[in-house]
Amino acid sequence: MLLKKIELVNFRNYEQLSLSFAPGFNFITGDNAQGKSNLLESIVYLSTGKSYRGAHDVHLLRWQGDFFLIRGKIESNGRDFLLEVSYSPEKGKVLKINGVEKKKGREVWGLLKTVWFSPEDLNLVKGSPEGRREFLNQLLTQVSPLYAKSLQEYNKLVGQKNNLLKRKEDGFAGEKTSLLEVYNLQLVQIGSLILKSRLDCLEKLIPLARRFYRELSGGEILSARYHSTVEFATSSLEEIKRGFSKGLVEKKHEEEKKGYALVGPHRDELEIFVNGKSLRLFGSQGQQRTCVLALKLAAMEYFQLTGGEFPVLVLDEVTSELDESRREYLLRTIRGKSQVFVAGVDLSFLESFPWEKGEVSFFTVEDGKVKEAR
Amino acid sequence: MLYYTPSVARLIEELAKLPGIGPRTAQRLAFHLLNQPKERAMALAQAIVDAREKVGYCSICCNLTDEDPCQICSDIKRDRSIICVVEEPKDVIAMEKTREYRGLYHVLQGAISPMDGVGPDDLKIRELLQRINEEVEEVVLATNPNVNGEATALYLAKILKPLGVKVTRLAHGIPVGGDIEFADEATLARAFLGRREI
Repeated sequence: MLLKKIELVNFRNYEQLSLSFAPGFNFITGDNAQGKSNLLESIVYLSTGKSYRGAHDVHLLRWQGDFFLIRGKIESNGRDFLLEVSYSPEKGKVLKINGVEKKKGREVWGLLKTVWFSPEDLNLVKGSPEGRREFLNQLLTQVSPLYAKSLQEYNKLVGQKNNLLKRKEDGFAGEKTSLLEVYNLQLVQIGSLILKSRLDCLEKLIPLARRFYRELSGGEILSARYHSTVEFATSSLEEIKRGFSKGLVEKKHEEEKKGYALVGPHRDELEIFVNGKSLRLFGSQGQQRTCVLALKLAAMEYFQLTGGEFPVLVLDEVTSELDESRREYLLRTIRGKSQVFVAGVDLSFLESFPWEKGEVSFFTVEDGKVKEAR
Repeated sequence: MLYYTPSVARLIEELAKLPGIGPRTAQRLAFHLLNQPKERAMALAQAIVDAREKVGYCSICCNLTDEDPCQICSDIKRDRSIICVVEEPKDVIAMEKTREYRGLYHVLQGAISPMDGVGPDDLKIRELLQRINEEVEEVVLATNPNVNGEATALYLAKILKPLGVKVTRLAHGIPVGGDIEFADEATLARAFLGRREI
């Protein structure tokens, strides 16, 4: 998968930008607050329709701009297509593939497959379980349209159920209990699919992450355990459904007391260990950082394993946090696989790397203008 | 809205409240109405008034109608043993266009959605239950195949089954007559999961 070209209009601090990229490494340097991260953000936005920095669409507009546009020329499986996203507060998002408007986001998001690593991700291991669920959701949403659709429905169901749980006992003319059963039936159907997809994904993802972690850390062993709020003996879909239904019955009173849904993949946790110890509780900052990197590299390989293509890799201010040997390992691991976008204040260490001709492009960013160096 | 005289501004405002009409379109429609011969605009106004005054809900099926009971409910040629339950009047029209269905309808006027404050009591469910008698053999649940429509169907199935009536749900999957190639990926994936032996 390649992003060959990008055009921006009124996105963040870019009034107008048109850039062609190298198929290998693209290094973007510049002082702080010049627009490095904004450029990377636009690439991920084109892929997911969301800012990975959690910004609302309105805040992505350039100062006094009334719309923004991101257009990318993408090569996937040897074929080129144009992907275009524009946004204005009046019309919302308008999505186009090769100039043809697409009504459903599902038709567009995930066409440009990306794995990104930004300073915000450093919290992945240490932060709340939500961040780790979000990591799995983002990965699976890009890989599987069914997962994307199911997740959307599942979240809506949880919202409806929580609303219902917060109502008084006699809410909806005494129908609260029967309605809860109805929502539980649907949660079991859709939630089990989500849970099963996550388990199948982790079965491949964790061994990959383990390999990367071992090589990055010089021998430490990474492992992970998926703690589900659903109990099941074997991870077959039928068995998960059975466990899900049983769990909902058992937790019925507790859910009603607390006023929100307690059972299901929206409450699950992925715990990560190094040498058998919980990384979240006992890991050093360096170990946690290495783990995030290993997970992101594993995600990169997972895409290739499931879809045949490596995704575009977006690394924001990450390489500067790694020591020289890890940086080299990172470059060698990615090289020849993914197209990569790397932003950093100081990327001078890259000059000495034995690059091949045409493999790499250097860009400098200054106040919303980008120049290609060399 | 200082640029318009008050009556034009009001017209644009009212038009912009209609679904699918933004401020630009509202402005275009307003000027179109004003540029036409007066009778044309008056005819539209009269049509809106007439429709609003005459149309009410059928006391049996709760569909929109000029007369009560509605044409479908009072048509003696229709099969009275089967009732098709839909969310909106427009769903009746969609079903009628199939020309396959010759039974009766029941319009719920919405779907259950706690987040929007819509519970069973806010829908025409009591009216539906009153219609279930020895004559009715089957109730077809044709609510939308989304989260709210599905919840409504499951809820109805729960309260209808004890009444001894056969309850069915519309099948969902890939559209008939379409190419698999063009089916929505999620729909296709779900149709695959629900595949059956032939």
